[in-house]
Amino acid sequence: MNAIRNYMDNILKAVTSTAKGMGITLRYWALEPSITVEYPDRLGKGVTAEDLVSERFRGFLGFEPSVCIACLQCQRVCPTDCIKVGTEKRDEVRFITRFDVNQAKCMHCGLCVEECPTEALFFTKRYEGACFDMEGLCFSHVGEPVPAAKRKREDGGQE
Amino acid sequence: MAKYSSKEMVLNMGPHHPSTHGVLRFILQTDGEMMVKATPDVGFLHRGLEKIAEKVPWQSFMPYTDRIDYLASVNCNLGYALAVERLAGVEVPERAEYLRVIAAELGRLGSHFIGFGALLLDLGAVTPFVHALRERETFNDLMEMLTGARLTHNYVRIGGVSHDLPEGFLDKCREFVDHLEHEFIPEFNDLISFNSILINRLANVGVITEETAREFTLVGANLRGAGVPFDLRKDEPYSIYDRFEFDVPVGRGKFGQRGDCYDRYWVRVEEVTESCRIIRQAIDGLPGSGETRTRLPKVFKVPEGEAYVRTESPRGELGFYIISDGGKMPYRLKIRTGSFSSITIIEHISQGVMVADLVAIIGSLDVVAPEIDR
Repeated sequence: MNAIRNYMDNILKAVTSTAKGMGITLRYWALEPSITVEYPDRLGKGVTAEDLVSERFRGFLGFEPSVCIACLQCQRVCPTDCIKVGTEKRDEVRFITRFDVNQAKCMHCGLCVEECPTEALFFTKRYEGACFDMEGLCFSHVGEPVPAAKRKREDGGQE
Repeated sequence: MAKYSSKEMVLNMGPHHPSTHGVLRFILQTDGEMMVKATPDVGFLHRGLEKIAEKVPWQSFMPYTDRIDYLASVNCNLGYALAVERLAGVEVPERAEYLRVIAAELGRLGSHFIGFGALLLDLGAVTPFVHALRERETFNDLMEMLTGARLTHNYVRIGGVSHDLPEGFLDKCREFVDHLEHEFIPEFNDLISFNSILINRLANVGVITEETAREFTLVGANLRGAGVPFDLRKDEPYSIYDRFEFDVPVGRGKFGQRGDCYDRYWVRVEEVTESCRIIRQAIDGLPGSGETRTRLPKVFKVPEGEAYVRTESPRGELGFYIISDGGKMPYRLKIRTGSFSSITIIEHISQGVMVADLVAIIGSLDVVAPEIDR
């Protein structure tokens, strides 16, 4: 008799506790609004992927040559060596001859952006970089050599 | 009549089995539905982080520590930063210490959601996993606000943190913590924790006694699940954890023997509440303003010597042993992680269990594959 009671008890426990859980599931299904956000290209209304990320989002690296002082701090601190900076001195003026960022190697850690004293290097919000060739992710930010910006005296960086 | 072989059958579970966590391989010797032995085969995710550390400057190794345990990267950042700070004697501003604790405890929450969520998914309960992932999504959004990344946060720096708080972060954080403690956890318990089918699947399965846990040097929630109240935040407080009030949940054999799968699961669920308490206290105690980072010299060098710092990551003791020869890079770095000791015990406790229970055992130990191999 005891065995039968135990057996029935077990069934009752399984059914009631499952029903309790299913009740929650049912409530979510019927009453709660859906929390799924579709990928931006399906949203329409001009919403892009960049609009959905936060202010500090670490996307692809952007570069502003006019304020770069060519201190090479970003290249030094980069853990994956994805930044390559070339400089050249012509008639007592330093020129930036290349500023290449291999976005495929970059792990978006943000160390270079923090090191940059002039905010020449910054994060964009762009992150969709799928392409068929790895070369498509190597960005040359400087075409023709540009003169490096004058560094401020009190900045005290290395010359 | 055909002759049937009475030999044991050797099965491979993995390396791409979805119910193991990450790329992990088990060699199972089975006798019908019963397991004779399950031998873990690790090494698929070895990336040589310890060697990389010898080749990059001290600050530049920080993003690599994200990759030790990707479910709670801030906790790994913190361990490395504390180790270097102890060796170099770098002071950390008060405000940065609080921000570190808030971020690290959020990381613990995020990790435990995946921890018990994935265990339930392995057992076939998809709905609770989605509920846990929904909370993880809020955590991801918070961290994106704070650090700019959703998975590899890279928030802690040597001598502080990378960013100060963004506007509105604390309110959202407090709201999230309140929601977890008062809404999510009770609902989650009704949904699945007290479900008698789950209890039958987990209780009295994969029992780890106190002695076995010590023998296999288990750490973290797995050790506490076995009944040992050992938590580095309490027993050997690092950072500013000695200022907070919280309890250390211990396995008590809630529905079966002490140290079974359910105890380990339940310890994690209870730890969510404790982390919520710590976050709330940290938000209250946060200094209004101040520095968040000590400026390091351009060429940062660490004096000769060695240091071992252990911290409580969601998967247990995370230790960084650092040797410096006074240069710009570490001379040697050794990382000790909790998942590695968790995986060694699987061979021992999987003897004589059912194949279906092995999935529960692996899930309840909350093994994260990249943390095993580094």
